[in-house]
Amino acid sequence: MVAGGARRPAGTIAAVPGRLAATYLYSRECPSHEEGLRLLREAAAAQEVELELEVVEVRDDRDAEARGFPGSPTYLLAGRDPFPLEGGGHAPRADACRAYALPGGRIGPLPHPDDLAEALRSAARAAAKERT
Amino acid sequence: MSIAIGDPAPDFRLPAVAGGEVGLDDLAGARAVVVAFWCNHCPYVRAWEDRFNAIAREYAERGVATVAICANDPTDYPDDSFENMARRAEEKGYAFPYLHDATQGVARAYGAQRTPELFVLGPERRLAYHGAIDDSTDPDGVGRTHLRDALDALLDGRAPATAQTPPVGCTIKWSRAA
Repeated sequence: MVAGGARRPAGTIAAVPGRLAATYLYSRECPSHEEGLRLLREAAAAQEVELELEVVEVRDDRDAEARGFPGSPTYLLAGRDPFPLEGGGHAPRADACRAYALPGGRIGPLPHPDDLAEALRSAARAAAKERT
Repeated sequence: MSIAIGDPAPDFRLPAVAGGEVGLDDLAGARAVVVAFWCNHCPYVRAWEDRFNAIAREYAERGVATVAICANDPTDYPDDSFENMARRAEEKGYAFPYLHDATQGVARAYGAQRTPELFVLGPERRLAYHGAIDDSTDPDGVGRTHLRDALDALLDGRAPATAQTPPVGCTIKWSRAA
Protein backbone atom coordinates (compact mmCIF):
# COMPACT_ATOMS: atom_id res chain seq x y z
CA MET A 1 0.00 0.00 0.00
CA VAL A 2 1.39 3.33 -0.99
CA ALA A 3 -1.14 5.66 0.60
CA GLY A 4 -0.59 6.55 4.20
CA GLY A 5 2.89 5.07 4.26
CA ALA A 6 6.02 6.61 5.72
CA ARG A 7 6.85 10.00 4.24
CA ARG A 8 10.21 10.93 2.84
CA PRO A 9 11.57 14.43 3.33
CA ALA A 10 11.03 16.56 0.24
CA GLY A 11 13.77 16.26 -2.34
CA THR A 12 15.16 12.93 -1.21
CA ILE A 13 13.33 10.78 -3.76
CA ALA A 14 15.77 9.66 -6.39
CA ALA A 15 14.53 10.34 -9.88
CA VAL A 16 13.82 7.31 -12.06
CA PRO A 17 13.93 8.41 -15.67
CA GLY A 18 11.96 6.39 -18.11
CA ARG A 19 8.81 6.09 -20.14
CA LEU A 20 5.58 4.88 -18.72
CA ALA A 21 2.16 4.19 -20.17
CA ALA A 22 -0.47 5.87 -18.02
CA THR A 23 -4.21 6.16 -18.28
CA TYR A 24 -6.13 8.87 -16.45
CA LEU A 25 -9.79 7.95 -16.05
CA TYR A 26 -12.08 10.72 -14.90
CA SER A 27 -15.65 11.87 -14.66
CA ARG A 28 -16.80 15.46 -15.06
CA GLU A 29 -19.19 14.83 -12.16
CA CYS A 30 -16.25 14.95 -9.75
CA PRO A 31 -14.86 18.44 -9.33
CA SER A 32 -11.21 17.49 -8.75
CA HIS A 33 -10.58 15.90 -12.14
CA GLU A 34 -8.52 18.75 -13.55
CA GLU A 35 -6.44 19.01 -10.40
CA GLY A 36 -5.93 15.24 -10.44
CA LEU A 37 -4.51 15.40 -13.96
CA ARG A 38 -2.27 18.30 -13.03
CA LEU A 39 -0.98 16.29 -10.07
CA LEU A 40 -0.09 13.43 -12.37
CA ARG A 41 1.76 15.64 -14.83
CA GLU A 42 3.64 17.44 -12.06
CA ALA A 43 4.60 14.20 -10.36
CA ALA A 44 5.83 12.74 -13.65
CA ALA A 45 7.90 15.83 -14.37
CA ALA A 46 9.40 15.77 -10.89
CA GLN A 47 10.26 12.08 -11.24
CA GLU A 48 11.57 12.57 -14.79
CA VAL A 49 9.11 9.98 -16.03
CA GLU A 50 7.99 10.49 -19.59
CA LEU A 51 4.32 9.62 -19.68
CA GLU A 52 2.61 8.06 -22.64
CA LEU A 53 -0.60 9.48 -21.30
CA GLU A 54 -4.12 8.60 -22.32
CA VAL A 55 -6.82 10.76 -20.77
CA VAL A 56 -10.19 9.04 -20.80
CA GLU A 57 -13.49 10.55 -19.80
CA VAL A 58 -15.91 7.98 -18.41
CA ARG A 59 -19.17 9.28 -19.81
CA ASP A 60 -21.81 6.75 -18.84
CA ASP A 61 -22.49 3.76 -16.62
CA ARG A 62 -22.00 1.27 -19.43
CA ASP A 63 -18.49 2.61 -19.94
CA ALA A 64 -17.90 2.61 -16.16
CA GLU A 65 -19.01 -1.02 -15.91
CA ALA A 66 -16.90 -2.09 -18.87
CA ARG A 67 -13.82 -0.50 -17.32
CA GLY A 68 -14.58 -1.56 -13.75
CA PHE A 69 -14.30 2.14 -12.96
CA PRO A 70 -13.96 2.56 -9.18
CA GLY A 71 -14.42 6.33 -9.29
CA SER A 72 -12.92 9.58 -10.52
CA PRO A 73 -10.07 10.05 -10.83
CA THR A 74 -8.42 6.68 -11.32
CA TYR A 75 -4.78 6.36 -12.35
CA LEU A 76 -3.60 3.32 -14.27
CA LEU A 77 0.17 3.05 -14.47
CA ALA A 78 1.35 0.44 -16.97
CA GLY A 79 -2.21 -0.83 -16.84
CA ARG A 80 -2.23 -1.27 -13.09
CA ASP A 81 -4.11 0.70 -10.45
CA PRO A 82 -1.53 1.46 -7.74
CA PHE A 83 -3.95 2.71 -5.11
CA PRO A 84 -6.07 0.61 -2.77
CA LEU A 85 -9.81 1.09 -2.80
CA GLU A 86 -11.11 2.99 0.19
CA GLY A 87 -14.52 2.64 1.76
CA GLY A 88 -17.13 -0.04 1.44
CA GLY A 89 -17.14 -0.11 -2.33
CA HIS A 90 -19.88 0.60 -4.78
CA ALA A 91 -21.07 -0.31 -8.24
CA PRO A 92 -19.03 1.03 -11.16
CA ARG A 93 -20.83 4.26 -12.00
CA ALA A 94 -19.82 7.17 -14.19
CA ASP A 95 -20.67 9.68 -11.46
CA ALA A 96 -18.60 8.00 -8.73
CA CYS A 97 -15.88 10.04 -7.07
CA ARG A 98 -12.99 8.07 -5.68
CA ALA A 99 -11.71 8.26 -2.12
CA TYR A 100 -7.98 8.24 -1.39
CA ALA A 101 -6.25 7.59 1.90
CA LEU A 102 -4.12 10.50 3.03
CA PRO A 103 -1.51 10.91 5.74
CA GLY A 104 -2.90 11.11 9.23
CA GLY A 105 -5.77 8.78 8.47
CA ARG A 106 -7.62 11.39 6.47
CA ILE A 107 -9.60 10.76 3.29
CA GLY A 108 -9.69 13.02 0.28
CA PRO A 109 -10.74 13.11 -3.37
CA LEU A 110 -7.15 12.93 -4.69
CA PRO A 111 -4.05 11.01 -3.68
CA HIS A 112 -1.32 12.75 -1.77
CA PRO A 113 1.33 14.03 -4.23
CA ASP A 114 4.03 11.99 -2.47
CA ASP A 115 1.97 8.82 -2.89
CA LEU A 116 1.43 9.53 -6.57
CA ALA A 117 5.14 10.24 -7.03
CA GLU A 118 6.03 6.98 -5.30
CA ALA A 119 3.54 5.05 -7.44
CA LEU A 120 5.02 6.59 -10.59
CA ARG A 121 8.55 5.81 -9.53
CA SER A 122 7.68 2.21 -8.73
CA ALA A 123 5.79 1.70 -11.99
CA ALA A 124 8.56 3.33 -14.04
CA ARG A 125 11.14 1.11 -12.40
CA ALA A 126 9.06 -2.02 -13.13
CA ALA A 127 8.53 -0.93 -16.73
CA ALA A 128 12.26 -0.30 -17.18
CA LYS A 129 13.02 -3.75 -15.80
CA GLU A 130 10.60 -5.32 -18.27
CA ARG A 131 12.23 -3.50 -21.17
CA THR A 132 15.73 -4.81 -20.33
CA MET B 1 -32.18 24.70 -9.31
CA SER B 2 -31.77 25.43 -5.61
CA ILE B 3 -33.85 27.76 -3.52
CA ALA B 4 -32.62 31.33 -3.69
CA ILE B 5 -31.05 33.53 -1.05
CA GLY B 6 -33.92 35.04 0.93
CA ASP B 7 -36.37 32.27 0.09
CA PRO B 8 -38.14 30.53 2.97
CA ALA B 9 -36.65 27.10 3.56
CA PRO B 10 -38.84 24.12 2.67
CA ASP B 11 -40.11 22.34 5.74
CA PHE B 12 -39.22 18.72 6.40
CA ARG B 13 -39.61 15.96 8.92
CA LEU B 14 -37.31 12.99 8.49
CA PRO B 15 -36.20 9.90 10.41
CA ALA B 16 -33.00 10.33 12.39
CA VAL B 17 -30.39 7.62 12.77
CA ALA B 18 -30.51 8.10 16.56
CA GLY B 19 -34.23 7.33 16.53
CA GLY B 20 -37.41 9.30 16.07
CA GLU B 21 -37.81 12.10 13.59
CA VAL B 22 -36.47 15.63 13.33
CA GLY B 23 -38.21 18.46 11.53
CA LEU B 24 -37.36 22.06 10.81
CA ASP B 25 -40.05 23.18 13.23
CA ASP B 26 -38.22 21.35 16.04
CA LEU B 27 -35.40 23.85 15.57
CA ALA B 28 -37.59 26.92 15.97
CA GLY B 29 -35.58 28.20 18.94
CA ALA B 30 -32.26 28.17 17.10
CA ARG B 31 -30.60 31.47 16.16
CA ALA B 32 -29.61 29.93 12.81
CA VAL B 33 -30.00 26.51 11.22
CA VAL B 34 -27.49 24.66 9.05
CA VAL B 35 -29.05 22.10 6.71
CA ALA B 36 -26.27 20.03 5.16
CA PHE B 37 -26.83 17.53 2.38
CA TRP B 38 -24.50 14.75 3.32
CA CYS B 39 -23.68 11.09 2.83
CA ASN B 40 -21.21 8.44 3.91
CA HIS B 41 -19.39 7.33 0.79
CA CYS B 42 -18.32 10.59 -0.84
CA PRO B 43 -14.62 11.50 -0.46
CA TYR B 44 -15.48 15.18 -0.32
CA VAL B 45 -17.82 14.63 2.62
CA ARG B 46 -15.16 12.57 4.30
CA ALA B 47 -12.55 15.25 3.68
CA TRP B 48 -14.73 17.85 5.40
CA GLU B 49 -16.40 15.61 7.96
CA ASP B 50 -14.28 16.36 11.02
CA ARG B 51 -14.17 20.09 10.34
CA PHE B 52 -17.93 20.23 9.85
CA ASN B 53 -18.56 18.24 12.99
CA ALA B 54 -16.30 20.57 14.96
CA ILE B 55 -18.12 23.63 13.62
CA ALA B 56 -21.51 22.11 14.45
CA ARG B 57 -20.38 21.36 18.00
CA GLU B 58 -18.81 24.78 18.51
CA TYR B 59 -21.71 26.80 17.13
CA ALA B 60 -24.34 24.73 18.95
CA GLU B 61 -23.09 26.45 22.09
CA ARG B 62 -23.97 29.75 20.42
CA GLY B 63 -27.48 28.71 19.48
CA VAL B 64 -26.97 27.31 16.00
CA ALA B 65 -28.78 24.08 15.11
CA THR B 66 -27.29 21.73 12.53
CA VAL B 67 -28.84 18.79 10.71
CA ALA B 68 -27.35 16.61 8.01
CA ILE B 69 -29.51 14.88 5.44
CA CYS B 70 -28.53 11.89 3.33
CA ALA B 71 -30.73 11.60 0.26
CA ASN B 72 -28.59 9.19 -1.74
CA ASP B 73 -30.18 6.09 -3.18
CA PRO B 74 -28.15 3.30 -1.56
CA THR B 75 -28.82 0.84 -4.38
CA ASP B 76 -25.46 1.54 -6.06
CA TYR B 77 -23.86 3.07 -2.97
CA PRO B 78 -24.56 0.73 -0.05
CA ASP B 79 -22.36 2.83 2.25
CA ASP B 80 -25.23 5.31 2.25
CA SER B 81 -27.87 2.96 3.64
CA PHE B 82 -29.72 4.00 6.78
CA GLU B 83 -27.87 1.33 8.78
CA ASN B 84 -24.50 2.60 7.58
CA MET B 85 -25.55 6.18 8.26
CA ALA B 86 -26.23 5.20 11.86
CA ARG B 87 -22.89 3.44 12.07
CA ARG B 88 -21.06 6.44 10.67
CA ALA B 89 -22.74 8.91 13.03
CA GLU B 90 -21.82 6.71 15.98
CA GLU B 91 -18.22 6.17 14.87
CA LYS B 92 -17.55 9.84 14.22
CA GLY B 93 -19.59 11.19 17.13
CA TYR B 94 -21.72 13.46 14.99
CA ALA B 95 -22.79 16.49 16.98
CA PHE B 96 -25.93 16.87 14.85
CA PRO B 97 -28.93 14.75 13.86
CA TYR B 98 -28.25 12.68 10.75
CA LEU B 99 -31.47 12.33 8.80
CA HIS B 100 -32.56 10.04 6.00
CA ASP B 101 -34.41 11.48 3.01
CA ALA B 102 -35.48 8.16 1.53
CA THR B 103 -37.88 9.67 -0.99
CA GLN B 104 -35.31 12.35 -1.95
CA GLY B 105 -38.17 14.83 -1.70
CA VAL B 106 -36.34 17.16 0.68
CA ALA B 107 -33.22 17.25 -1.50
CA ARG B 108 -35.42 18.09 -4.48
CA ALA B 109 -37.33 20.76 -2.53
CA TYR B 110 -34.07 22.49 -1.60
CA GLY B 111 -32.63 21.94 -5.05
CA ALA B 112 -29.55 20.27 -3.58
CA GLN B 113 -27.20 18.73 -6.11
CA ARG B 114 -24.11 17.65 -4.21
CA THR B 115 -22.71 16.34 -0.97
CA PRO B 116 -21.63 18.23 0.98
CA GLU B 117 -23.89 21.18 0.17
CA LEU B 118 -25.00 23.62 2.83
CA PHE B 119 -28.12 25.70 3.24
CA VAL B 120 -27.78 28.11 6.16
CA LEU B 121 -31.04 29.55 7.37
CA GLY B 122 -31.25 32.84 9.19
CA PRO B 123 -34.14 34.84 10.61
CA GLU B 124 -37.61 33.53 9.70
CA ARG B 125 -35.82 30.47 8.34
CA ARG B 126 -34.93 32.14 5.10
CA LEU B 127 -31.88 31.08 3.15
CA ALA B 128 -28.90 33.24 4.12
CA TYR B 129 -25.98 31.19 2.79
CA HIS B 130 -25.73 28.39 0.26
CA GLY B 131 -22.63 26.48 -0.74
CA ALA B 132 -19.46 24.97 0.63
CA ILE B 133 -18.08 24.62 4.16
CA ASP B 134 -14.83 26.34 3.24
CA ASP B 135 -12.56 26.60 0.23
CA SER B 136 -10.36 23.50 0.54
CA THR B 137 -10.74 19.78 1.02
CA ASP B 138 -7.33 19.96 2.70
CA PRO B 139 -7.67 21.30 6.24
CA ASP B 140 -4.18 22.79 5.95
CA GLY B 141 -5.15 24.66 2.79
CA VAL B 142 -8.19 26.55 3.98
CA GLY B 143 -8.20 30.21 3.08
CA ARG B 144 -11.86 31.21 3.33
CA THR B 145 -14.06 29.84 6.07
CA HIS B 146 -17.43 30.27 4.37
CA LEU B 147 -19.64 28.51 6.92
CA ARG B 148 -18.03 30.11 9.94
CA ASP B 149 -18.20 33.53 8.29
CA ALA B 150 -21.88 33.08 7.47
CA LEU B 151 -22.75 31.93 10.97
CA ASP B 152 -20.73 34.71 12.61
CA ALA B 153 -22.58 37.26 10.50
CA LEU B 154 -25.99 35.83 11.33
CA LEU B 155 -25.19 35.64 15.03
CA ASP B 156 -24.12 39.27 14.80
CA GLY B 157 -27.41 40.22 13.18
CA ARG B 158 -25.94 40.77 9.74
CA ALA B 159 -26.42 39.12 6.36
CA PRO B 160 -23.38 37.04 5.33
CA ALA B 161 -21.01 39.05 3.11
CA THR B 162 -20.70 36.02 0.87
CA ALA B 163 -24.10 34.44 0.44
CA GLN B 164 -23.24 31.86 -2.21
CA THR B 165 -20.25 29.70 -3.05
CA PRO B 166 -20.15 26.71 -5.39
CA PRO B 167 -20.75 23.49 -3.47
CA VAL B 168 -17.85 21.12 -4.13
CA GLY B 169 -18.60 17.44 -3.81
CA CYS B 170 -20.16 14.32 -5.22
CA THR B 171 -23.46 14.49 -7.03
CA ILE B 172 -26.50 13.32 -5.10
CA LYS B 173 -27.26 9.77 -6.19
CA TRP B 174 -30.80 10.06 -7.45
CA SER B 175 -32.98 7.00 -7.57
CA ARG B 176 -33.10 5.49 -11.02
CA ALA B 177 -36.69 4.53 -10.40
CA ALA B 178 -37.66 8.20 -10.03
